[in-house]
Amino acid sequence: MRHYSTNSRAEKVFRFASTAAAVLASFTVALIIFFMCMPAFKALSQVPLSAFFSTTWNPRGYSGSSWGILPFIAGSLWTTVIALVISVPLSFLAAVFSSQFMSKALRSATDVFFSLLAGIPSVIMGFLALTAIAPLIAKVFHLSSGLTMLNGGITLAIMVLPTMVSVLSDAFQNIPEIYKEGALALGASKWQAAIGVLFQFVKPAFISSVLLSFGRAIGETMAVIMAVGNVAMIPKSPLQPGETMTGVLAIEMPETVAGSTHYNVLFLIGLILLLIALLVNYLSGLITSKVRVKIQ
Amino acid sequence: MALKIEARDVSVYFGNAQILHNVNLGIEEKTVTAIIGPSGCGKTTFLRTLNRLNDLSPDFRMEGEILLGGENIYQMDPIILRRRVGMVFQKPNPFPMSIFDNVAYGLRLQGIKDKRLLQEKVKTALIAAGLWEEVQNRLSSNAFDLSGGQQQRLCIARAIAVDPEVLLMDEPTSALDPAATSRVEELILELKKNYTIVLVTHNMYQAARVSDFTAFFLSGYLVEFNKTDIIFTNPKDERTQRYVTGKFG
Amino acid sequence: MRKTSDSAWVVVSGVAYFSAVIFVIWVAVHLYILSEGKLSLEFLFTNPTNGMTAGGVFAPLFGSLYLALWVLVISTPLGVLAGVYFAEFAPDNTLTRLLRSSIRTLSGVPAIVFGLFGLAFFVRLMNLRLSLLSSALTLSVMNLPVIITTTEEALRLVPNAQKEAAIALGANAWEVWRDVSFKYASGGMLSGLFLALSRALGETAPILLTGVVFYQPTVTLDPTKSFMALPYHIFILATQHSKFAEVLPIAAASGFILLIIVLLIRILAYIYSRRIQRWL
Repeated sequence: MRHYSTNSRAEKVFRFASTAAAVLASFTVALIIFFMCMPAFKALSQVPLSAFFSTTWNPRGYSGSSWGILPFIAGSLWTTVIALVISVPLSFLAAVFSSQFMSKALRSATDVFFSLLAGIPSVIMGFLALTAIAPLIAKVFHLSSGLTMLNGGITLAIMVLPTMVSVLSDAFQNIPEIYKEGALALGASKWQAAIGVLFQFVKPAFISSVLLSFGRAIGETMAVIMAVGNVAMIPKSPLQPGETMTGVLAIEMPETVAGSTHYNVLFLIGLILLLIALLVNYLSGLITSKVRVKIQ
Repeated sequence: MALKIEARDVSVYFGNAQILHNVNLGIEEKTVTAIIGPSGCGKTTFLRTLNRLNDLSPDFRMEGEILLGGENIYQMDPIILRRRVGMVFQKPNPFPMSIFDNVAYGLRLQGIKDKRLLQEKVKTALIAAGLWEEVQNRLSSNAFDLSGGQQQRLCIARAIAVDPEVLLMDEPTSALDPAATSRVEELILELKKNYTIVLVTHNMYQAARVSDFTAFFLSGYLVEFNKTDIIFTNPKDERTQRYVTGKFG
Repeated sequence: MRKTSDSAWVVVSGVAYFSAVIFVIWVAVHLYILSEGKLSLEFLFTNPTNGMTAGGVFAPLFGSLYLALWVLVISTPLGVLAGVYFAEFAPDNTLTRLLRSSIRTLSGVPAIVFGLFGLAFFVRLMNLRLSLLSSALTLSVMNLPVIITTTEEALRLVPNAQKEAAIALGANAWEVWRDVSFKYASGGMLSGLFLALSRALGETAPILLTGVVFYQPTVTLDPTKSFMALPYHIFILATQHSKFAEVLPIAAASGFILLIIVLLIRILAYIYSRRIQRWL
């Protein structure tokens, strides 16, 4: 609702303050992109582009620096993909169960746990990865250390699960009863109904949530650092350690001299990370809005 | 008698859709004017132009002018306008406050802080709304504890507490049971001694019982406006005739 | 035959669902066990000593809470006012859509990138140096989307009839907000603030680069100094301390405390988001 009243000073101040706040808040994202770009572009001028495509990362090398960022991209992709491979089917199952087979009362009692799961601090998940999951992986696969891509993937899977489950569960619940009943009337069991017919309705939410989880997983820092071993090389299998983009930033930036080439290259990695995350979020939003238009 | 409200060539648009077409209407002081017509004919829209509530809609546009006591309402502060023109809504909407605070709300907005003055005015308003005896011992209790009919009378008290000149009522009894409805109708007959009342209603019996003048709207046009008994017994326009007899059956 | 495979699916999906529920409980239990009895009131109120291998967790705990306080003080007015704008004043045009999508974009920025931004902007450009203030500002920016969105949504749920009643009595926009909207929306808004609080306490990446340290000799209220924080404390103990086996119980105990605090706040946020307030 908008007002056209004039004389009250309190209202004028109120309007102004809220407008200013909204503008300021919206402006910060541009600020962030700008301040990421500045050092990143400097890096591009200080280091030849081909250098980034190497697999060796050695910023403080004795005989010159190597700036290959491929290990980190590989590390991020390994952990994120493993995370999605694990969490997508699990969250689909959980979402179907939640929306189709649970009573409203039970669901509202247990749903809070998903919110709690999403709220577990990253560093605690990392602690878990270090003290519980890694030893398990080492045992099962006969490794000397469980700090591997797999460890990272499992940890990330747990972290992205709650959001996926809630998005999917909502999507399933929003399907009008008629379609659910129609599917059942055709003789399908509840389960077959879910997979066969209803999935069509949740496909956009499904894709959207996968994208969102990809963004979330690739942007995770602390949990992954504590899980993957942080060795700057390209892992050839999920049972090898590696390092992610987020990892190298968190580990090396505190020790880096501001304004140095190392500093700038790290910002470049940060910019790449940011752009991936923004792209993925944008696509996710695009799909959800496309659906809205379709419904209208 | 003086015209309290005058609408001159009023047309209302929401975006590209025209809701009211060239309405010309004069409402006399201290009378009850009923606005009747089928759903969607624009009667509520017309009512809401009188206190500029339509301004809240983003794509609202009005042509023509509306005068309150001779003054153009778009040349006065809307806050002042709304103190002079009160409104009672279709569904009772008391605030989540005590009964006392509800009635005192408009007064406090105007800056009245003196406790005794507030108590006096609240009491007067509740008496005028016919609610005083039922609530005098529980003024500090929650307004939501009242019945639907009581809540509506509370809203009436709240509206008249600030001493408006005009009272706009948008189907005030459509959400109430018959007993509560007739109480409100009696109240309207009492209130018209002090206030100019404009009443939107889809209840023909109510319009006939309670109003002095009736305006018949159809598809955004003011079809006919006259004394109530003429509208109901001897309307000049055929469409009015059809509407009025159709309802009476 | 269809029936058995069907019930098998039900079981499998049920396990998937409930394992999430059980996991939360298991994390708390696991941490508790690993803490080997270090948890006590004394633990909460004494400082770490002896190279962090003994003593308690007071300084990091205090640091986190103090940091969270600053974050709330900075981000609440900004976030709530911005939410008010979007709910009450924003016209329906392209500029508003642009503003909205900027906020949505902000919510997708990874935490470590906020840390980098905080380093480049607050620490260096604004010369606030490595300090609690830099970290608080960084975390505030990170929390803006949550607060703005929950505020806006809470305000949208305020019944129009209530607002119209106030307006019809002559209330201006500020008065409508103060007397009507705020009452109805306060639950939802509080929920957003609790969420922001839980993140301010639990996040490490943004403060890593902007002001947190592992060891600070004195606990201070001066926001221009660096500070200790619980999540960072846990991180260093678990990954970089030379005597890992010795400090593991302390790390686990600290983790347990952090977990419980964060989860309790989240539960509060959940409760407030569901409360439908009629009589306040």
